[in-house]
This record gives sequence, C-alpha cells and structure tokens, in this order.
Amino acid sequence: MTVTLLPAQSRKVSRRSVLKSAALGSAAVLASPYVKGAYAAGSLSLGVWDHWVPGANKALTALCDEWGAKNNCEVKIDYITSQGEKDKLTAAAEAQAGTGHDIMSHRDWNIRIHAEVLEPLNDVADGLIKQYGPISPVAEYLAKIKGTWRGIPTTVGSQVKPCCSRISLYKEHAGIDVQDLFPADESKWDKAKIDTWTWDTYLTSAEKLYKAGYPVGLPMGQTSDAVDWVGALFNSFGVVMVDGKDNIKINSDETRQAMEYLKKLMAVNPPEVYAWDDAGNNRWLISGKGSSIMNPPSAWAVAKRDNPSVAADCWTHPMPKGPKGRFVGQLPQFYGLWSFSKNKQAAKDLLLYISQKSSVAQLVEASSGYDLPSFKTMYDLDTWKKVEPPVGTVYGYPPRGDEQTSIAGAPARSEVGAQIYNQAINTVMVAKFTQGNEKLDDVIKWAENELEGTLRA
Amino acid sequence: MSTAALAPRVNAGLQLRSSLSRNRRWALITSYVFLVAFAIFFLIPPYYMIVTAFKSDAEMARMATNPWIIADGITLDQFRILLTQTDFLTFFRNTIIVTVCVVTITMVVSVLAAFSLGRMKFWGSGVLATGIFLTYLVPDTLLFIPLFQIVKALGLLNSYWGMVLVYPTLTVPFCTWIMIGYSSQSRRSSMKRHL
Amino acid sequence: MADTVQTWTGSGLRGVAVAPSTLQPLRRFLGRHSTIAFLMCLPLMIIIAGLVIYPACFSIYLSMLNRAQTHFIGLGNFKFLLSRDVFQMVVEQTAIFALSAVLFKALIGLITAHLINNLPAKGQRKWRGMLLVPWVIPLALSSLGWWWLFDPTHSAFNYVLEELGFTEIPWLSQPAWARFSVILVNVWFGAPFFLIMYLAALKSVPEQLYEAAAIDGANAWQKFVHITLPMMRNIIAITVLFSLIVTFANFDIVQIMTGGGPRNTTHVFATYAFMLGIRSGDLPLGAATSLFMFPILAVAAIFILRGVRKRGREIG
Repeated sequence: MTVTLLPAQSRKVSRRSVLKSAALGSAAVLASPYVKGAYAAGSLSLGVWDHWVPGANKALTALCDEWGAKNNCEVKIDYITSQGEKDKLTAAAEAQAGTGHDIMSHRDWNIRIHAEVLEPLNDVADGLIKQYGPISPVAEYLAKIKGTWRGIPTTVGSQVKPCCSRISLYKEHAGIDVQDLFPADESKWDKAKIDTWTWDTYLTSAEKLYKAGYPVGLPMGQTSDAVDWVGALFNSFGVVMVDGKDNIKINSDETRQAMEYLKKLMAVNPPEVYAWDDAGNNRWLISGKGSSIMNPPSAWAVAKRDNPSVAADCWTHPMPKGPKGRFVGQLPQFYGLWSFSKNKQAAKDLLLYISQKSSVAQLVEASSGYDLPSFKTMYDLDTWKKVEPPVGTVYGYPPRGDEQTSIAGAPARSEVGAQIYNQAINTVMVAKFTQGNEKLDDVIKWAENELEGTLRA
Repeated sequence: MSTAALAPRVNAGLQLRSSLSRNRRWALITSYVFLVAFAIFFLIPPYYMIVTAFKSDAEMARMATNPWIIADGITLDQFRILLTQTDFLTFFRNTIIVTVCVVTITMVVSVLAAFSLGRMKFWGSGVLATGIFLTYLVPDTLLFIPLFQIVKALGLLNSYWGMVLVYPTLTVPFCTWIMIGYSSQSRRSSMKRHL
Repeated sequence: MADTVQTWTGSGLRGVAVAPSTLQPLRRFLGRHSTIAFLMCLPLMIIIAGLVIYPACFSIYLSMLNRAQTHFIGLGNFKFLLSRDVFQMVVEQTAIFALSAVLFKALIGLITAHLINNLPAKGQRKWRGMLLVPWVIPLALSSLGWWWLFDPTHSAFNYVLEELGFTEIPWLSQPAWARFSVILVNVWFGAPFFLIMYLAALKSVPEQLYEAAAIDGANAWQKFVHITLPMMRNIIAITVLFSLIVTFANFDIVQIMTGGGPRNTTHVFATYAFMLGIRSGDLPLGAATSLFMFPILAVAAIFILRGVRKRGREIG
C-alpha cells in the first residue's frame, strides 16, 4: 500500500509525530484570523492518517483551515502514520481512556471495533447520500452498524486495488493491449472486448509473461494487499467464507474451483510473494522486473520519481472477471467522532464540509488520484483523466463499468468479518495449498476451524 | 582456596613458562581468526545500512546492481531530504531531551535502590529484589493501554513528560538488577580487604 | 562506581544521624538502617507499583473480559486460545524461537568473551567496541537493516550466493528459513549483551585460580569447566533468565521481518497478541495471549533467582 519503510516501533504509542504536527497546526492557526465564537469550545482536534504522498496532507490542512476561518473555530490536525499500525494503537488507547482527539480517522474495520464509543453520524451520512447518490457498499458495510452510521468515509487514504500493468510487456508477451481494452474514456469502453478480460485470460497471460521473464507479482502474505486481491478473486468465483447469519460456507465447490485456479496462478508468480508485505508488490513493479500488480497507483507514483521509464509504461485498469462477476478489493477509511468529543456539532459541520465534491476534488488532485471518494458520482473528477505519464494512466483506478467493490470477510457480520480479514484467513488458506502443498480438504478443514473461532461471541 | 596456599607452587610454574608462551601464541592467533569471523557477522547489517544511506532512490528502486556497493554514485540526497523535508530534527531533539531525562531518572532511582538492596537488609528486601526481576515478565505489547490511562490521569498526554514517565518502567528494573550485582560484589571485596 | 555510591551514602547517613531520637542505641541503629534502606528503595517501588503492577493487574483483568469488554468471562479467553490450531503453533514457535535464540546468544557471548579476554589488554577495547555495535543500534532499525539483507526480491545475501554459483535461499518466504532468519537476527542482537556480562564476570575470576590449575596440569577445557563455569554460574543464570524473558516477549524482530508470516509460522506471543488485540480489535484475547507465558516464566524465574541468591550468600 505505502512504500516508505520506516521502522515499525509499535510497542509504545509514540507521541512524537503528534507533537510536531501540533506545532504545525498552531502555525497554521496563526495564519488565519483567530476569533473565538460560534461553537462552544471554539476548537476541534483531528487525528488523521499520515498520507504517504508528499504534500497531500497540506490539502486537508488547507481545507480545514478554510472551514475554521469561516466558522471561527480553531482546527488542529495531527497526522498519524499507519506504519506499525500506530494510528490503530492511538485509536485503541484513546477509546480505552475516553480522551483524545475529537475526530479520528479509522482505517478499514476500526469503525466496527470502536463502534460503541463513536457518535452516530446518520445526519451527515444521509445528507451526503441525498446529495451525491448511492455510497460504496463496502463503506456502508464497514461503517453502518445496526442501522447507524458510526463513521463518514474519507477521501484521504481510501482506495481500491485494481490491476496496474505494464503496457509494453502485456502487448509484447501476452498480446493484450490494455490501453485499447480500457481507454481513458469510459464512453469508449467496448463491453464485448472487456468481457474477454477474465481470470482465465489473466492466467494465460500471466503464464506467458512468466515465461518471458516478467512474472506478475501477486502478494500472498498476511497484509492487506494480499488479503484484498484474494478477497476480490474469491468473490468473483462466488466463494463465501461466512454468511450474514454465521453459517460457515467455506466448504463449497466454488472454494475448490477458486483454489485450483490459484494453484495455477501462484505457480507463475515469483516464489517470494509469500514473504511480501504491502510494499513488496510496489517494489516489484517499480524495479521493472514485474509485469502487473494489484494496487492503488502508489507504485506508479513512486516509479514516476525513481524509475520514470517504468511509470510511463503503467496502466491502471479494472480487475479480471470471474464466473460470478468482476470484483475489486476496496479499503475505505472513515472519520469517526468520539462520543466523548466536546464539540460534536462543529465536528459534524467540518465533516460535511470536507466531504463536499469541491473539497474532494482538491484532495484527489493533491494525491494524484490515489484518494478515492466513496461516491460513484465523484469519479468524473478531472484528476483521473489528466494524470500522466502516460495520460490517463489512472483513469481506470476508480471502479468503472461492471466492476464492483468488495472486501474480504463480507458478507459475514462485521465483527466476524474483521477477524477473518485481519487474521488473513483467506491468504493463509491459499498459501497452505499452493506453497505448503497441503491437501485441499485439509486446508478447508483448517479454514472451517479458524472461521469457527471468529464466530465466538 | 586461598592466595597463601598458592605461593610455594609459583616456582614450579616457572618451568612451564616457555611451553605456556608457545601455547599462548597459538591461542592468540585462533582468537583473532574467530574474532574476525564474529566481527563480520556483527557488522554486516550496520555496514549495509550505511552503504544504503548513500544510495539514490533510483538505484534502490531498480534492484539491478550489486547491493553491497554504491553502484550509481554516492549521493547525500537522503540526508538532505531527512534534514529539510521531514521533521527529523524535531524528532532528534525530542529524543535527546527524553533520553537525558530518562537516563538521569533511571540512574538516580536504580543507584539508590541497588545500593540499599545490595548492602542493607530490611523487611521484604529479598522479595523486592526478586520482584524487580519479575517485572520483566509483564509483556509490554499491551502495556500501553493502562500506561496511556495513567499518563492521561496525570495530564501528561502529548508532552515530553509522558514519555519521561513511561520509559523508566522499562529501564529501571534492569538497571537496578545489574547494579545490585556490582553493589554486593564491591561489598564482598571490601570485606575481604578488611579481613 | 562503587566509590561514588559509598560517598553518596556516607553523607546520607550523616544527615540522618543528627536527627533526634529517643530509641535505644542498638534498636535505633537497626531501625534507622532499614528505614534508610526502605526510603532509598521507595522511588523504585513507586515506579514498579504505578507503572508495572497496576498495568499488569489491568492486563490480567482485561484478559478475562469478553471481546466487547462488557462482562467477565474468567479463563474463557485462555480456554479458547488453547483450542485453536494457530495458537498451538504460536506456542510451539515461541518456545523454539526463545530457547534456541537464548542458547546461541549465550554460547556466542561466552565464546566471544573468552576470545576477547585472551587478547592482550590494549587490544581488548577495540574488539569489545566492535562486537558491541549490534547492541547500540535500536532494534527496530537493525531489524529493518536485516530485512533489507533478506529482502525477498533483491536479497543482498542471495546476490552473493548467486555470484558464487549457489541457488537462492528463500530467507523469508519459506517457513523453515523464515524461522531461521528471525532467530538469527535475535541472536545477532542479543549476543553482545551476553558478551559484555560474561566479559565483566571473567575479569572478576581471580587469576591465581587459573595459575594454580595450570600448575596442577589442567588443560584449557578443564580450567573452563572447573574454574570459569562455577565462578560464573550466577551471572550465567541471571543473563539467561533475563534474556529468556525478554526473548519470549520479543516483538520488533518478527513484526518487522515477517509480520508473523508465511502462514503464521513465525508468529510469537507478542506479534500474535498484536494481531488479535490491535489489528482484529479483540483486546482481551490479545491480553490473554501475551500473558500466556506469565505463570510458567514466573515459576522458572523464582526458582532460578532463589538459587542465585543462595549461592550469592555462600560466596559472600
């Protein structure tokens, strides 16, 4: 997901980043006229995911300052890295202690985890849905708990993980022109052509690319990049691990079909994919050794700096289609408002403001298209059309056409889903079968046992 | 065994001198060979980290060159970025401040305690000495939650003092233990001198 | 160092001696002595009580709650853990990890301490300094350095192997090699600690003992077994115990190098607790995992420390 490699010293909640950004925050406040007024406490504090794209934090800071100036409210933002899950540690500590920021950003399942101490945000969410139409089902699954929205999907850091392929390698070795298949203008997408982009096609092209010495690089570790693409593949084969009523459904023909398919696919991946973390596939693509990965455009963005010829040869496009449809892994983030916040009305106003399309446009632009809002009606923003090189390289990043978003662990109850996802039960299954050469029946039995564990009350 | 008993035997030992010194030479050479081997083992990662620090992003990204040397030319870019585009200097200052405070606190607390535990006896001192060691049994993976609560209760969140308070938890028990050892050792040797 | 301690307490004792007291001289002396000792330990006790015992009790309490932390379930979390395949593997792996790492750390520490002790006095500092380097680099950073060396895609070690005509080694992607790698890094980091402790202990063994043994015709091995080892028994017991406890609780190395993978095979208690507690959001289960070894290690520690104290009294 991100490519920086800072040490993950996660034992303690380090407040250093907090200290420094608090200083930045106050400098920003000095720049805007400081008048206490409108809101009771007159200030709001945010703990937000520290963006890996240089300068992307500034866009959010600017938006918040703008809102703060208009509403006579001092806004302080602490950017907290997700390296070593420091953001999750901070959230866990604040939830336990009942003190901290007003608004915290929560990655993936953390809204569910802290639901009991998060303020209902139905008014904000419903307002946004009324304004911008249907919201991503994954976002709804993760943040709407028992009918109550406990978080508002962010733009910052929310992502999907479609294919990012090397144009020339696919053309030369697999005979597929990904630019022709998915041109940077949805109106030119040809359904008949796109229907040929299936997992079977993906496998045959991966085999050819492997022979040519440029294998695709699909991670099979236990971090989110691996869990997300395997989750998408499982969905497109119709695999259900646990359904919404706590029934374990992993022992199915669909599972067997998907696993047998993965056995063939993993055989044409480099053997080190089992050890990759979220940066592994990025580095694989950037080095020029790989022909395709499944990732947000972060790999492309870093290649643009470090290996420009590779970047100019990258094309982000939808996932292959399986028997049950075309799915891409989505990993949204959410703003949660702690129920112990002293300034809830101001917080809600701010959330509404930074979720407006005009604000979203600035955030998407600042992240070169990496940040993905949860409303489909916002996918027409200019950034995705014009980011280069090559022009339109990330046009296919937001889910378009028949591509649906999904998350591994769904449709189980989200408490159960969180365990399935974070314990990476799907990728461990695949690794046991493809790398460990265990019998498929044993692997499925193992998975059943693990899934049973996630159901514990 | 006492020193006095050894005295008459020392003369006999002189005859062995020459063979001893030959043995010593060999022992010394073997020692150096093994030490070089261990030094290589111990110094590989720091060497690799230093070399990497001077490589360009592009060289790292391409993963095509000999990783042990700087193939695409030395660059100070990483240091420039670290010092100008990140808040490293702030972090560095934080580190220094916290370290100095933590070391001071640790030394004062553990020297006091070690001296008293190593040399004096009071009710429960034995239990306390063992207890200090046992504190390491508390895994710190999840220690941060109660610690966060304590730091919050003291109103020290988001300040140096929070860290200054928390770190000695990890340093004091060990320091005390090491010092108890020295403290009781020096008691023994001073007792011997008096005898 | 002992000197500073002495002077310091000297003045401390004098300061108290002028305090008025109506007790009998002997009783006064004893009472004062232990009061001072107690007062000197007070800061330590406060730190331990506030920052270790309270958090420890809190963790134990936490480990007995249900996932939502709404009600008390006794040993339910522990029972549940024991019934899981993955957890059984984690127990096994933690034991392999800690025991083998400590064994090799102790061995390497002992060997290098001897080697350095054999050198002429003026060369010792240089070598000692060189071999202590791993210990002064923050573990999180050096683990990252090792990770780069093992890097799945462009491993520096594999580069050498390939140049020499050998096949690549899947350092982090095959379970057996991944287990080897995390242990290797732990040994690398921990051995210098043993080295410094043993070197100090070796220096305190009286030279006359060796001379006497040499005259009796003892060879190097006999000297080691009959003089060095007995003299160092306490320090070995304490360092091994300390290292064992710390290694059982190790987090950084595994988290950074493998994150517990491949297929959960390198998870140790701390990383598995982190995955359950922080990543999956089941804090009580995470607490139970990290406390799992507590009783076993506590019993071992108490026995070893009792032995150490007893021997300490005999020697003293």
